[in-house]
Amino acid sequence: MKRLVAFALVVVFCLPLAGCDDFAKNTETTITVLTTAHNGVITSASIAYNYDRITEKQLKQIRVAGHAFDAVRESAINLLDKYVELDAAGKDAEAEGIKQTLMNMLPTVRQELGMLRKALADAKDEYQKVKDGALYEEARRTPSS
Amino acid sequence: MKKQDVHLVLDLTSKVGVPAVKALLDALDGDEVTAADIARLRREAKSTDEIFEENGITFEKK
Repeated sequence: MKRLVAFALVVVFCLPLAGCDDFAKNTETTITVLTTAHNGVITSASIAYNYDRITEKQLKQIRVAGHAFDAVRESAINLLDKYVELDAAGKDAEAEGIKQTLMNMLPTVRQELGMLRKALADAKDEYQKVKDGALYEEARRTPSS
Repeated sequence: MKKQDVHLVLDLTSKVGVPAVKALLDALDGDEVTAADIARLRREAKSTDEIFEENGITFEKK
């Protein structure tokens, strides 16, 4: 799963380097890759929760970060839809305005995905600390033979 | 398609799975974005809760 997310992120950050003239196509590909990465992170969080690697409270925190990603991604898709429509209709000035808004929004979508990944990583770390602490306490209480 | 392209696709598929590679190839297909592409984007953009549900995790509705 980590490799899936890493691959998706590499592709996202490399996309602007290729074919910068085709804005709509690059944006579509970027959203597709971000969606793949989001799917990977949430699936990973689900597996971690199902195998007791993170707590319910931590899962809910990840869910909140996931909802933030959902919202900005939906806005980005709506803007891309509008851009394609205006561009096809030859309304260049309006399309340019939407393009600028979308260009400003895409880093936010990436940022929200980063926050989501961080939420999962923090949850796993925190759980490990709690677990290590509990094991330490248990070992301390158990008299050695 | 060149031999190295085939290797690249095989390598990617083994790493990230068929659905992820197919989605990426679909996105790269064609020169311009059509209404069908936007519809595909919306269809594949599952929400966080939908993915949780697919993995057997549900939350109480508010």
